[in-house]
Amino acid sequence: MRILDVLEVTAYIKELVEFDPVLNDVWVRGEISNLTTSAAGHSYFSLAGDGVQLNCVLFRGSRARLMAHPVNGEAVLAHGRFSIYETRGQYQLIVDNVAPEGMGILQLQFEDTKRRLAEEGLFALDRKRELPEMPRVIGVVTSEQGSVWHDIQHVVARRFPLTRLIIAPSTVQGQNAPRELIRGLEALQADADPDVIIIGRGGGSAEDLACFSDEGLARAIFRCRVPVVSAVGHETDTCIADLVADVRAPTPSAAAELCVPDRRALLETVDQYALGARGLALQALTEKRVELRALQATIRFSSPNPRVSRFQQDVDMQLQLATSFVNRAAAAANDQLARYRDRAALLNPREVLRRGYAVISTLDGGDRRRIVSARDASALERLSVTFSDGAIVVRPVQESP
Amino acid sequence: MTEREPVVEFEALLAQLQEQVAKLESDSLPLAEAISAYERSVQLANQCHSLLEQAQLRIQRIDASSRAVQESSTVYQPFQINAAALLLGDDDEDLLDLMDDE
Repeated sequence: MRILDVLEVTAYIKELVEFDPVLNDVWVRGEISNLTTSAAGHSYFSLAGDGVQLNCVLFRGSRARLMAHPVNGEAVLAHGRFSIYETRGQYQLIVDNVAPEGMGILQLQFEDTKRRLAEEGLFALDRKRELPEMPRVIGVVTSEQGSVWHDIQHVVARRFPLTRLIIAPSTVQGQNAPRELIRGLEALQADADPDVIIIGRGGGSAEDLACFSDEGLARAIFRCRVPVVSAVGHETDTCIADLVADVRAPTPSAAAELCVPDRRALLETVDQYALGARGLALQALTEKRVELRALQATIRFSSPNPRVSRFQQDVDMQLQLATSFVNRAAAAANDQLARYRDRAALLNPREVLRRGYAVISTLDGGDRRRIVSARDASALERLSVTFSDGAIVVRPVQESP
Repeated sequence: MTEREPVVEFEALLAQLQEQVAKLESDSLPLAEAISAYERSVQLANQCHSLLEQAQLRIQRIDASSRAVQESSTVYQPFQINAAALLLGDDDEDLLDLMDDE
């Protein structure tokens, strides 16, 4: 037992109240009465229920964030923390939010967290990041059991198996879920170097999904160094993870599809390039062939060598093509030469004698001449007849008839 | 990890393919270079195809407390894809005809 001053005991009570975990974060249900607003913009009212009254103060700064505005006679839920007003020895609720009475606690928490995080800019559209086009590594935070993980693997294996999937297993419902989900996010960032992270579960009741509206998780997603895709698999309710994530997917399969390109589309792209290359190469070849044809025409009318040398600096291919033509032209020239040689052989006099002809001439050594007419021959006494193997002397016996 | 991630490999191949096409698009490319750029394109396209068609999804698991990374035993065999067959390669008759023609 001890003796305390009023000031001391009031300070003690104030400390008890303000550090009490229930009293410093609580929703109180009651009916609003005695509502007044001061010139400074602060409101004062009582919450009444079952004949009991509670003094409340709503400071001006909190007014902008209220889910509902206080009106006399209305049943509401007021959120705030308890404090002691020392001057008058009163306890009071310092209100920072007012909600319609019918709301459940999950919804209240959700709305409250959502409101505060929105104010801080965690949902801002201009900080949403683009997903990488072709992620090397995709981190996944979800349960290892169940269809979510399976669906994600299946979609990625089908669409883009070049990537690597790495799961950080976590429970996805219940009290421990937020902590495990946050640890999963952190482990992936610390040791897996992912390009994008999918976080989610396969739908469920509002209670099951509550962990995805956890404030700590929202902040962990916001802090994430790489884009986060939320896939909480539900239709109507939105959870806070969805709001803070860079991309929200309706289902885990959809999340996986958003994260990777479809390789069939990539194959088409590759084929487009390859076919483009083919078209361009064909075009280049056709153009060169036209040039080469012109070159051939020129060669045809003159000695090929100087013409060819003019193209010496040209590319190997062209040279090779031209050379092949020149070779063929040379071969043709050789054929021609061989034909000339045959014809020349036919004209050789010795060959003619060999075929049975003979040369008739005079005998006189100094003035030996060919006799090419019967009249000249019959005028002579003797003639020389040369065969291929030698000459004989003959005497004409009869004049031409 | 020393080996190259397949995605990085694919991106590099695709970039090289784009480069070859850009090269072919430029005027006054000597014929010999045009031919080799085309041959290189076909080669790169085929490499892209086999990467995309034969890649096997790699799956791992990280333990959030120990931070240990393990390979998963789950194996996804390459899925069949019905991409149109590419008319490229050794049987590219138009081009070969043209090359043999001279």
